[in-house]
Amino acid sequence: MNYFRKDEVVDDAQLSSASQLNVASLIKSLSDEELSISWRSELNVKLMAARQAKKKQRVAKRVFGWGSSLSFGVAASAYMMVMTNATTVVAPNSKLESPSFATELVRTHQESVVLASVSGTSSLDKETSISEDSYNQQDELL
Amino acid sequence: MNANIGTWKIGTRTMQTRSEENEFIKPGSADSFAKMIDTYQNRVFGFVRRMVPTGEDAEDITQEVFIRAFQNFDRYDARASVRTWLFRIAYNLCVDRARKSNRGLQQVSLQISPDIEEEIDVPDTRWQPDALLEDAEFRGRLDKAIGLMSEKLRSVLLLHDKEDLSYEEIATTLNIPIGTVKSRLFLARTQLQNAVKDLVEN
Repeated sequence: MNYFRKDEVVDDAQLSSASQLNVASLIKSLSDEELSISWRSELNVKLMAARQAKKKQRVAKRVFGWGSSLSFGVAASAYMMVMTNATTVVAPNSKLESPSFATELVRTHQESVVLASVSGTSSLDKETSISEDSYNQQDELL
Repeated sequence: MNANIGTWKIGTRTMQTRSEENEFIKPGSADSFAKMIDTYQNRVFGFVRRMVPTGEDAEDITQEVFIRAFQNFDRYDARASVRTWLFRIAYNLCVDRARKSNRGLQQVSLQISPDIEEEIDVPDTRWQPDALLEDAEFRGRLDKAIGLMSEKLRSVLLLHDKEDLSYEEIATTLNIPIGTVKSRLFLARTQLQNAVKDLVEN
C-alpha cells in the first residue's frame, strides 16, 4: 500500500487544498479562554519573589567576589612575607627603655666580663640574677 | 517586501515584522516586561491550555513561562521574535510536564492512506467554522480530537493555524526542519478532519 512517509515533503499546494484550509479555518475560529485578574496578581507575586531572588543572587555574587579577592590578597601578602624572609620586629618593652636599667645592664655585663677574664668562670648566672633583680626594681618603681 | 511597511506576506498569511512586534521589548525594563505579559498572556495560555489536560496545569505552566522569561529577560536578544521565544519556553514546559506525569511524548503515526486524502480533498460547503462551532457536540468532538492528537502534531497545528506563526517560526520554536513542520501540519489537519467528518456530513 502506498503510504505517506515521514521523509516525504509536503508541498504548499497540498497544504492549501480545500480540505486542509477547512480545518485551518476551524482551528482559527476556536474560542479562547482568558486569564483572570487573580491569575495575574498571583503571577506578579511570583515575579516579585523571582526579582528578590535575582537581587540576592547578585549580592551574593558580589560578596563572594570581594571575599575571594580579600582572601587572595591576605594569602598573597603572607606568601610574600615568607618568601622575602621578612624579619619579625618585636617592639621593645617600655620598661627596658629605662636609662637606669640599661646602665645597670651594661655595668653588670662589664663586671662579668672582668670576672670571667680573671677567674675564667662563666658569669651567666650572675648576669641573669642581676638582670632579674633590676627588672623587679623597675616593676616596683613603676 | 517593503522594509518601511510593518507587514509582509508569507504565502497566504500576513505577518508582523519582527521589529514591529518587538518594538516595546527593552531587555531589563520592568515596564517593558509587564507590557509583554499583557500582550501575550492569553495567547500563551490558549496554546498551553490545549497542550496539557487540565486548566489548572495550563495556568501554572503559563505563569512558569513568564517567570522563566523574566529570569532570562536580561539576556533576551531583542532582534529575535518574542513570541517565538515565549512559545518555545511554553512548549518545552508542556513537554516537561507530560514527561513528569509519565505520559511522555506520544509517538506520531506518520502514515496516512492517500485514499483518505483523495476522499476528503473536495470543497465542502458544509464546512462553515462559525456554524459548526456553535454546536456543542461538534465542539466537544473537536476538543477531544485535538486532545488525543500527539503533542508533536498538536503543537504544529496550534502554532500555525491558531497562533499564526510562520513555518520558519515554528521550525525555530520546536527546533525541527521546515519540511517536518509542513508534514506534521498536513497530518494534523487530516487527522482532525477524519475525527469530525461524520458530524459535518450529518
